[in-house]
Amino acid sequence: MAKISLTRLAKISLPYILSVSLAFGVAGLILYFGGYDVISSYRTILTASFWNLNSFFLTLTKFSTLLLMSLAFLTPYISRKFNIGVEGQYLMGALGATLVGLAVSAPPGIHIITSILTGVFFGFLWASVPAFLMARYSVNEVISTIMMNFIARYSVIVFAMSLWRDVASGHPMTIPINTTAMLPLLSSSPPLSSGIVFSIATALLLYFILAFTIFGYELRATGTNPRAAEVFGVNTKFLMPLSLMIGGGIAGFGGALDVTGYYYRLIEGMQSNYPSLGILIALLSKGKITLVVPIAFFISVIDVGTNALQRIQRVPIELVLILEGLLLVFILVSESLRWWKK
Amino acid sequence: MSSYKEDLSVVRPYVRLEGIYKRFGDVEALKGVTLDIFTGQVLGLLGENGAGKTTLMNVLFGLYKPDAGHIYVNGRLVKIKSPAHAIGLGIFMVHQHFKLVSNYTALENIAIGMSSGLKSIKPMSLAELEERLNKIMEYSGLYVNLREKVKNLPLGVRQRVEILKALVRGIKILILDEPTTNLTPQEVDTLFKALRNLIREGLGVVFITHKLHEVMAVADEIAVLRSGVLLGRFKRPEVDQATVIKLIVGERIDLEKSIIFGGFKFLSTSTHMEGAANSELLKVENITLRDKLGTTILEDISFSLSRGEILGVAGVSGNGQREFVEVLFGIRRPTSGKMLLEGADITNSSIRDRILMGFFYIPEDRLSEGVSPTLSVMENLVLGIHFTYSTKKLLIDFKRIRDEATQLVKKYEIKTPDITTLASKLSGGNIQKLMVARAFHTRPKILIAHNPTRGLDIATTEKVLNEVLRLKSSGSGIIYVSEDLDELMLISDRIAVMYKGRLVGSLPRDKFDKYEIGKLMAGVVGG
Repeated sequence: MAKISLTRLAKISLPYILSVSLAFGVAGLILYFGGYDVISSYRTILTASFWNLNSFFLTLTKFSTLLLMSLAFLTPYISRKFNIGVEGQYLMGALGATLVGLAVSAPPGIHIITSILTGVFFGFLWASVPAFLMARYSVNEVISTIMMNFIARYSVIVFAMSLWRDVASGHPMTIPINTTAMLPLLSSSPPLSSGIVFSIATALLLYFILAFTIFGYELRATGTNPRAAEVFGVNTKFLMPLSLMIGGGIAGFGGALDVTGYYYRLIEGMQSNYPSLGILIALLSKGKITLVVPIAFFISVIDVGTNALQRIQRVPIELVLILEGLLLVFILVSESLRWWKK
Repeated sequence: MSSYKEDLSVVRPYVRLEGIYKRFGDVEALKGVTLDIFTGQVLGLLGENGAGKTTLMNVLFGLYKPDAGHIYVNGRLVKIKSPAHAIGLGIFMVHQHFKLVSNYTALENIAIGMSSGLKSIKPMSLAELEERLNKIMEYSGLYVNLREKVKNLPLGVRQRVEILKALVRGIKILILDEPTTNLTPQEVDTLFKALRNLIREGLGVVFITHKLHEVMAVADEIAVLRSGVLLGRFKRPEVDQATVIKLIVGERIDLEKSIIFGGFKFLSTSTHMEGAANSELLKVENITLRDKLGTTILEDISFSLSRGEILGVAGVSGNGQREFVEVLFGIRRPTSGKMLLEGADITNSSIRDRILMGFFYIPEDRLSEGVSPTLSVMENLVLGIHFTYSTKKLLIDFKRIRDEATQLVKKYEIKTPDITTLASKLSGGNIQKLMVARAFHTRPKILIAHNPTRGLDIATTEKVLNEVLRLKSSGSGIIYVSEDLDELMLISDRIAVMYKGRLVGSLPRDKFDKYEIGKLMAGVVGG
């Protein structure tokens, strides 16, 4: 096996380090002119996740969702399909889990499993629509998945405002699911959902499938050169839609885990900006699961850090979001420019 | 005119390339080449694929910037920045792939770029241009129907359009890169005659080729290039062919045993021909292929292939060869017709089924169909048969792949740092070797090879031809589609010709005749 030399490692990580520094530089300038303490702001962003167990668990919770979101994008991406529909699939997964969690009564173990599996299935089903349109009518999956996102977003509102609406809340959300459908916590105070175990397991399983199975080989072959794969007998017309549906299932899994393990209900807007962050992470990793995990963790740290900035340094939330966006843009730019190469 | 030739061209070269050095990544393509190019003569630039011939001329044409070295044109040091600049200096290069606008007429194509800047707004007199072209066509013998759209012209005529484009611009040096690739033997003769006519008018020609007999037929001087080094320059009448061959290939191949250099005595044609009738392997009946618009691409193709037979398919490229091999391998379904493998109907069998039945394929287009760039060399070597490397159906047996890939890389001399290196890091020639290795590794019962030696150096070409012959002697049938008629005539048992989607004529080995095949290639039906 080829050894990874130190120079090579430096070559790979240099652009990331440089762009992160650059982003922090620009962010620092903005904070400086806004009259904030730049150095302590930096410290907050980078260290807030590790101040106490509570914020660390919060980071892990975000990481758990982000990881699944990026895997949901990454799986079809490996066969060169762009699953922009992560958001809709996540929401449908959440809706499916909520539906079972509310409408069914069953013993705890079975109830949890059926809720989550329903969520996975809903995500899978939601992605199967663009997958079918792609396979049958060559409809571009980017367009169809975006449209499916709209439908999912408003379906959630309709659902959250109807039968199980939580009338006590001003925001569209359902009442909590039955306790039998709630995932056990890894730690009760501060709380940490056991969802993290599942998302890491998903990453491991996916890595194994892609690297060591015939299916994974064919998926990678399809993604790197669909024509060559097709010429040598790989059924790309089947694999591409299938990978999109698997991605949908993973996103649905994410939604289901968040409902059964964190929110315990369906809430309008619960997807936050995770779907787009997930896509970003998958793109940054260039389709490598080994990179998805650390990048997703880093983004979670930044996310928790910038939120803390708002609370502690009293930096307005808009500025915080701008800073976060800046960071991501710089990382993305460094990635595509490849200026560090000769 | 002869005095002009003596005064200028012999005394002083029109172009002098001095110490040209060029590297691509880790590959030194040119290692300090010095070459004089004179007007009034044909210089044959000879060398195998990858020797650096085209690179050297691309430097002169302004497509590559040399890393070191100087270029003198007409005695003056110049830095050639672009092809437009080179044309301004009187140098024109006709590449293997023509750069013509297919929806324009020949005349319009020639007119493109003749005026630039503000002048290009002024309406141009095509009539005047046509008149000049008529004169050029007359003395050169390169006739073209100028009013015809380029897309309707055969490849051989498109090449003439390119050459006329150069001549009408008053070019001094014309560079032709492997100009005979898609010509029929008759067209080659016409081209050679035209080149002789043109140099009499004072043109200088650089003729890039890897075929010795071509330069022997047309060149005044021969320069031999190997691995980026100029090894010698000879006047044609003084050339000793054996010496030149040695220079081209070096010490790497045994000329006595070489297939290409004639040491090869064909495994007597009669041996397999006798039993051919009752050992039929593949039978193709009335295959027709139409595209979505109903245009006929392949028409009524029938042939049969016996065990141990090499069926050569000749033809100018673009006559349906690609669709033909794709139908055979199952990539496309024929609109009508039947294919029988040892009597069993396989017309609708999938690619994978065919691979399992013993088919394999070497596609023509190595970049778009041959490899998966971000898979490793080792993973690429099993593409197509990967599903046979499974342990318990699901998992892929990388240990076996690794072992076999290590052997294949060694056997076929695929230059790669490691078998886990991504295929995108390989050079074109090595990708070709990979495709060849993959195909022979499966020991196919029926091999469909489309230009399998394209871009390979001579030693590797020998190796491929040897493998084809070994496959033949083991009883496999080979369908060998190539644009290289010389190569086809070397190894085929039978040659059929593709012309406008039809398989015309079929000559057995003892009836091989270059000009007869040439007629079929040009659509002059006979044979």
